[in-house]
Amino acid sequence: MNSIRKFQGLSVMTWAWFVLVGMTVLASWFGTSSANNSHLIMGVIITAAIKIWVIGYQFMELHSAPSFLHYAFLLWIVGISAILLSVLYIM
Amino acid sequence: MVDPSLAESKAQANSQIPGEAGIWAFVAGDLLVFSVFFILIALGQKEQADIFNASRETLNLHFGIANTLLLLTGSLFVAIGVERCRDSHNATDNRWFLLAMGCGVGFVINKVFEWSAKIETGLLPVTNDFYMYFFVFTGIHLLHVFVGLGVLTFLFQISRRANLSSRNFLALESGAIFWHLVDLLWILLFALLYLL
Repeated sequence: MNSIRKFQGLSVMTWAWFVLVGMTVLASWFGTSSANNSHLIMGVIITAAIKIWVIGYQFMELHSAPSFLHYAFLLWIVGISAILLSVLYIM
Repeated sequence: MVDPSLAESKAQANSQIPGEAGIWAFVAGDLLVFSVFFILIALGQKEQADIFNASRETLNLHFGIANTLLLLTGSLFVAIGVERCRDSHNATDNRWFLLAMGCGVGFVINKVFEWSAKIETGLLPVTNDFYMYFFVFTGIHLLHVFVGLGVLTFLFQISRRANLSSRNFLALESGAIFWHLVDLLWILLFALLYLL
């Protein structure tokens, strides 16, 4: 039996790891760049939100979970990102 | 022809919660608790921007990046370990959990060096709100890493068995979900404490 999901010869998990490492490099660049502060905050929070979604969807296997669990997780990501951005931008 | 709504409900019935339902209740509770921590850091950043920015300058970003990469790599090893056990289990699958434990131990060692360097230069939890949040929240996260290392030891033991029962698979998936939670929580802590 071979149920390991693959893409271009590599397992989907490995591709997810490459995406996560790439996003970490990107987020670190945001953190050290002299970019406009509001762009920096947006970049850092959004890259973190995407990384969390990839971890949940691929590593925690939410892709094969019932949709209520998948959507609850997505709702938390969107909710916490929106709250953090609101606090950092508006309050 | 298959009724599309019937096909959809069948697909729905076939999708299963990964791991035990209880681990997801724990994940939900932990996410809510850490949400409060994340909001407190953001509020501190907004209200004491000068202190938070100056304190952040004294952090060594390399420690943060190294710890992020260690946890992400540990998560990959755990995910591969679970996948291999499920696919065509054999006695060598346990090495993935051992590798993940190595990443976890690396995280702890890195954290000890980072904290020691801060304490030696007089940066303590009482220094200011930023450092209080830094030590308390990363400390609580570090406790999760210690628990995670215990969980990985358990997964290592299970994966050594020649035959895995359905209960063993549930334990493997639940333990893996806990380790991924540890990784996930660090992602936002890293963003808020090191990168803003």
